Amino acid sequence: MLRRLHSPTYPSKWLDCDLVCIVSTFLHLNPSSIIIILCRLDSYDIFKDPVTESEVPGYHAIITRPMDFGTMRSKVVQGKYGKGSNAAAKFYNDFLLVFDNCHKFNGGGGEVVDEAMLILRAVPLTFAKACQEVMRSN
Amino acid sequence: MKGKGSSNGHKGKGDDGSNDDANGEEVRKPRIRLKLSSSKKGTPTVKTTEKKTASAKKRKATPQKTIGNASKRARTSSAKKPSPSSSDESDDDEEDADESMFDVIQLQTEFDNLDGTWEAARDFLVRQGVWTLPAVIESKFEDVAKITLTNISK
Repeated sequence: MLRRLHSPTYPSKWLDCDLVCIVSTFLHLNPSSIIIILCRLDSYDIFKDPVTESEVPGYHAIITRPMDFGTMRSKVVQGKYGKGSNAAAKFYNDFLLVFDNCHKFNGGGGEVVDEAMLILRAVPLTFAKACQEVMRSN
Repeated sequence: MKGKGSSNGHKGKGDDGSNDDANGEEVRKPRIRLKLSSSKKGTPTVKTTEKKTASAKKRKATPQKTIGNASKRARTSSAKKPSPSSSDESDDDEEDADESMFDVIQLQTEFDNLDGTWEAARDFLVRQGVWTLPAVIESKFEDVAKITLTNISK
């Protein structure tokens, strides 16, 4: 959870302006398009994979039930959540676990928590839109 | 004596104020008596009024009691039948929660109104409760979950 992340909502947060100008000049691109490309590549990988002990020593001593989006995806594919609304409830709980772990480990403040907050606030809307999309496809 | 006689003679006619000048004291006594009697009569009237008011209060009170009892009965009746009413309310709440869970416009409005705190963002997720799937796509959890994860990672 200590990995630095890049968010499309705060593109200039992590990027050095001079570096962007040099790269954009070299590639003959608009600096804003460079920022967009970089941010798309690095967006939201904060919860993409499980946190390893080599990456963050002591993480598992604090977080006893780790969870991440990659693990959630594999659980979906393997059918570990089950089916129907019961599965949706478990899926919801895992989402909550991901963000609660982040908040717990990072002490409730800082850039990582701020960035996680931006993802967290988007979760209900994303789920609703996903339901609508599936309903439309039916 | 006249007064007495007359009084005696007029006993049958009743005690009027004609003898007041002759025997004022004697007359006053009956007056007093009358007053007393009137007061006595008055007191009962007062008492009757008090009784009336009391009875009115009682009457008023009794309907209130009956109302109270009725309300109690209603409560008890509602309490006796908790399962249908409570289940109806809970069903309505669940339906409202379900509706709000998938109302994208409402969610977007709430999303826009969120302040930049972690607590507000978490409350936004927790407020709607545990996710459920609409009956139409009850069997499509995998699709919903995959789309959710894909879109949340963008």
